[in-house]
Amino acid sequence: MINLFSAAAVMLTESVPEMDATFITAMTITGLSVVFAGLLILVVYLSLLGGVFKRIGTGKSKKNKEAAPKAVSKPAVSKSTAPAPAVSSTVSNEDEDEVAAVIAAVIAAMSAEDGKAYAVRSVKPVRRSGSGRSAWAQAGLSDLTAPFSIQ
Amino acid sequence: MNEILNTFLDTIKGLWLDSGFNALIADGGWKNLVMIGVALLCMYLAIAKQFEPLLLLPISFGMLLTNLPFAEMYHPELWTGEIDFGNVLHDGGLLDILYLGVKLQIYPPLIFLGIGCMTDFSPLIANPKSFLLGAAAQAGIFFTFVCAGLLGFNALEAASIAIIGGADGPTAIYVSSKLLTGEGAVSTGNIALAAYTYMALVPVIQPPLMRLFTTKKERAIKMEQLRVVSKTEKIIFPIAVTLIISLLVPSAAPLVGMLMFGNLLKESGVAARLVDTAQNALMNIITIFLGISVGATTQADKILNWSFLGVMGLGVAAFSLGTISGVLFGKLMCIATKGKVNPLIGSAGVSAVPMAARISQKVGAETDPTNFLLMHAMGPNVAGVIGSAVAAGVLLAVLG
Repeated sequence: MINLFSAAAVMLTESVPEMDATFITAMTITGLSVVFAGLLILVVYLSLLGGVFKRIGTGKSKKNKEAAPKAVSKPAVSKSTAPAPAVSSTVSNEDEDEVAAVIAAVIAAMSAEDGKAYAVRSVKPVRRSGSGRSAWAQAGLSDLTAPFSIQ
Repeated sequence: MNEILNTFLDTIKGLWLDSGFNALIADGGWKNLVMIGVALLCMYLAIAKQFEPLLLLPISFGMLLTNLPFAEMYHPELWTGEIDFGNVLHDGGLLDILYLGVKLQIYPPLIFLGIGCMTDFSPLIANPKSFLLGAAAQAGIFFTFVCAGLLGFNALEAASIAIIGGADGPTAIYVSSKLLTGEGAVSTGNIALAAYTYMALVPVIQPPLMRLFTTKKERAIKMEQLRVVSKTEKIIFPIAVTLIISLLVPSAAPLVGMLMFGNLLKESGVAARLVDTAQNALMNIITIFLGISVGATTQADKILNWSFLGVMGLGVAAFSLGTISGVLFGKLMCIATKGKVNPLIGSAGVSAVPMAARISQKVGAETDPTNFLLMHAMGPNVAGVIGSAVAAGVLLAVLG
């Protein structure tokens, strides 16, 4: 062990060290240790920094949540027997509106068949157990990563 | 009339003796012919098979030019032993002048500047533990150093060969051009040729090893979605990495510093023109100069020897050992996090951006097509670039 330490010290001073077993071992251990140490410092630093930014983010989202109920109005819900169910505003963009409209149309067709009135209060994507992503997120991810797939 | 005929014949004879054709059929000329054949093969691989064409094409053309007898574009004797740069400027050919950028360590850091402008470090910032996978994959460099030592290479050659395991062309050229004196059998061109060949072969080398060292259950692990990284974090990151790494390993500063400078230009969002130049025009110019001048060092006596076979053999060992180290460390992280880390992302730690990350995605999707590892693998992938620059810094600090 003492040999390894002295080899590590010598190799910084010698111009071209001899490739003996002691030097090779010392070089390998030193190299791996320094690479791990350098990147470990970055791990700790970035984890701390990430923690601070997460807290800032959580604080902001809490404030937003507190302000949100005042701003959001109740969704319009149709309770009439007419087959025109309204959809709550949980979906925002055009594509999702189209999907919601299709779902509402199917419900409306069902209500026409059995004579009962249905109201669509919200449309939420189903979470698959285990995947951790909704079906819509999964489809989006497929689209985005497709250009990077290797044939 | 006779005199005219004699003069004519003497001139023709002189022209023939001075021509490259004569040199090719003269004693030892066959070596140049073989090297021209190798250059043509490399061009075929770059054009028809698209093996790293942006670099392999300039390298192979540099190889062609340097092996043309009497072309005098590159003079290896100017770069042997103690270099007299005045002599290089006075007597050097075109490729000697371009090679100054390699020998003076100018091109690789400038390439890193462009890479920094093109790299998104968000996956690494969102999951800093990825750094450990980037560090683990560098074990391939040091294990190869051991193998090279056992095969009888001297310390400088062993370090130059080992850095191929970093799977990072500019880093390999940076280290080898600084360490190799031109007197031995190994040249910067050998190292670059091996590094870029194996980088192109990453899709062939890595998947079997990844499958061998992981179970189907491990390959199917789905990782949690990464958090969103703020712009401030992205701006702080390059500054912090430059400070920490450069203070710890000062010899890594040119590579890491330029990589992070490029990234800061990109993330700041206020230097769009500089980013555009660095990642397009500048990067392309440097790539041409770097490729053709490195190709010029692949002269027949440097390639047609047993040492080059050794370099190629150790190169594939370096890539394989790096991949295995990354995957095994990934398995360790998988156990430590109770199954939250897919070990496949560990192989991306060998750099080779973004190919290695794409391989992780591909092998993961083979087991479960709904598994998306690409963004998770990009973390260790870009960490590998920083890791290999640090490893290069260590080798240069000890041997440079």
